[in-house]
Amino acid sequence: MNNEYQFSASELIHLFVDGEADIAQQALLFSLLAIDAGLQEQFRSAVLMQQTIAQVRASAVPPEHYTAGLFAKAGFTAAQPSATWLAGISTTAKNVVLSLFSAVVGACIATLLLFPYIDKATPGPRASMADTALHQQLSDSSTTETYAPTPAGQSTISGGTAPIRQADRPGGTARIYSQYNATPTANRASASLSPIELPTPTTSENLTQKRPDTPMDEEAIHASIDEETPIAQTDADAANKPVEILADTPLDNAMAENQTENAPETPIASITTAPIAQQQIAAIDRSRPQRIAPAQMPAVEQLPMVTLYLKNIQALRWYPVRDIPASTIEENLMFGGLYHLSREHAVGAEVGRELLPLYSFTDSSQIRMNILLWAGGVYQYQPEELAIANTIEPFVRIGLGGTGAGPMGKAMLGIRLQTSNVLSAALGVESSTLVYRRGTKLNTTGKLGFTVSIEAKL
Amino acid sequence: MIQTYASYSDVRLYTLLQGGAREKEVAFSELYRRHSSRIFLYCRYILGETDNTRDVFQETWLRLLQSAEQRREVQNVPAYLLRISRNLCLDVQQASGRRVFLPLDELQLPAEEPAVRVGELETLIETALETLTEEYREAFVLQTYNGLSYKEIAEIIEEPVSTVRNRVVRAKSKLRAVLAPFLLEANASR
Repeated sequence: MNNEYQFSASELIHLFVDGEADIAQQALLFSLLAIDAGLQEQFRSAVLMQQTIAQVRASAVPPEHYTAGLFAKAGFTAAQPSATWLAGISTTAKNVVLSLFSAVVGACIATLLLFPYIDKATPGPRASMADTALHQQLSDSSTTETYAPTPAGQSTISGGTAPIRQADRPGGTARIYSQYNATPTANRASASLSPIELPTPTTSENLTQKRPDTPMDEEAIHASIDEETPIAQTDADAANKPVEILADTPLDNAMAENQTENAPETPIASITTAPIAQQQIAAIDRSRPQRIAPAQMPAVEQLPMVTLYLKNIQALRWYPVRDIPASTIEENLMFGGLYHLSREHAVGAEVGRELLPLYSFTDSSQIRMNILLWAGGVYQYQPEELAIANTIEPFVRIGLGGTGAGPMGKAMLGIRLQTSNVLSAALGVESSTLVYRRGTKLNTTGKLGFTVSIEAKL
Repeated sequence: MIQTYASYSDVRLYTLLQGGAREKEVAFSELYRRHSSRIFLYCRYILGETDNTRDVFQETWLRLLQSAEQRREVQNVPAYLLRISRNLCLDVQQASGRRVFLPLDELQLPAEEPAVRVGELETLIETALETLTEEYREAFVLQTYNGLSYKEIAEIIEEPVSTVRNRVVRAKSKLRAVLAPFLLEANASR
């Protein structure tokens, strides 16, 4: 509030009733009310007017033909009565979809965690594998590392106490992993995942703040007036100020002189002195309010249509091998694009390379690291209510596609950091699960990794 | 599992307007339920009870739908609606080329000062509103009938807060002066 401006008593009443008076102004008003019966009457009138308008506001409803006409123009068949029913159907369908999504994510993670147990329970194919066309494809193009089980207790990464086969990656360093113990621990076998909690919608919040219609306790004010208690005690400075009663000036004088709002203020008359005879208001020629172009509206922004991203995955855990071999960025690099259906939902595609451990097709006792080409479709859900200050945005992304070895699914949980309107960075945890066939046996492999992405909105 | 959209925020509902037909209709209905009254009051008290009021009111909501279809991001739905409505009202006023406020001597208020009940006072206030200039009336309507703060009004009409404050205060003072006899009577009868 502008403290330099000297408000008249009448103005202070309206500022107070509107909830816009500061503490000093309130104190000044109360002290004036305590000594001026006419001002008290003005105060009651202002409160009554405010209450009357509040009742209008509370009971106002657009005429039915306004609503019916609007819904017809909008192409809607029904108005509010059916909305609740439709909302239930729509929300239920949405919940079903989200539940399925949760199940997919949960299944991916459960598969990864339980993989050693599954593998141990089906040892047969390891001893009876023959070369296949798939093996040829894998070994020719992408084999990088060789694994072989050795007696327990030996080193897991070595230059080799028991190297079975050298890595055949061109130019690559042969890193031999000598032990793979697929025996699951009891904890791992009994591990279970609890269902993922889906975000629930936040409570409705109107961004336009509403204030109380009468922001004062009228009885308390009157009591304070009756008791002649110096209310200005609440503000030491205000209490020390001499009470200045401004002389009322006829309201319409100021307006008739065509003063602008920012011109030096003339105190407005109280109703007890306002001469209603001065009814020249219609002659005042004021400039009309100016139209605001929609483009100038600060609250309007354009929703990005497409997001492109580059993602790198660094493994935190592998299945069926336990040890994490070193890998280069280009071995785990993916490029993707997302088309935004809405602010929360997006679909797109992703292509790239990913390092995954697979059983050897020539020697079933070996597990080899393979760089697999991956391509698939992705879906991203970004719950708006979990975003923090529009700069930190959690999201979930799932993908389903194929590799040279077989179908692969992905689930990612991430947080996006908006660095500008175009660029952002994302960190996350991603699990990948690949299903591939060795002869007649289906096997799974996968990994849990930490991802770093750079994204650009177009 | 069944829940309504009543718990959704305005922005979330606005986003749903970009979705499928059924989702769109439900979200629109909920937004309409929340904000139609304030838009209606704004149109009614700025333009009066005319066909223009109905047209502007309906066009405001249709433009909200269009904005959603064009994927415009809106952070404050009620403020956005008021901006649309305000621009449409200004268009109507400029096209009609007429002043919409009355001089006080043409104001038809009861000659005597009968006992006034609060219900009747609301009609008197509406009538007295016609004596205000457009900008004073707009500030008054946004503050009282739409419940906006001075700062919020300033953002919508793009004027300084001090200007808004003076408009509101002066409009109220003027209305109170016009209605003084009736307000005194109403106070006495309470």
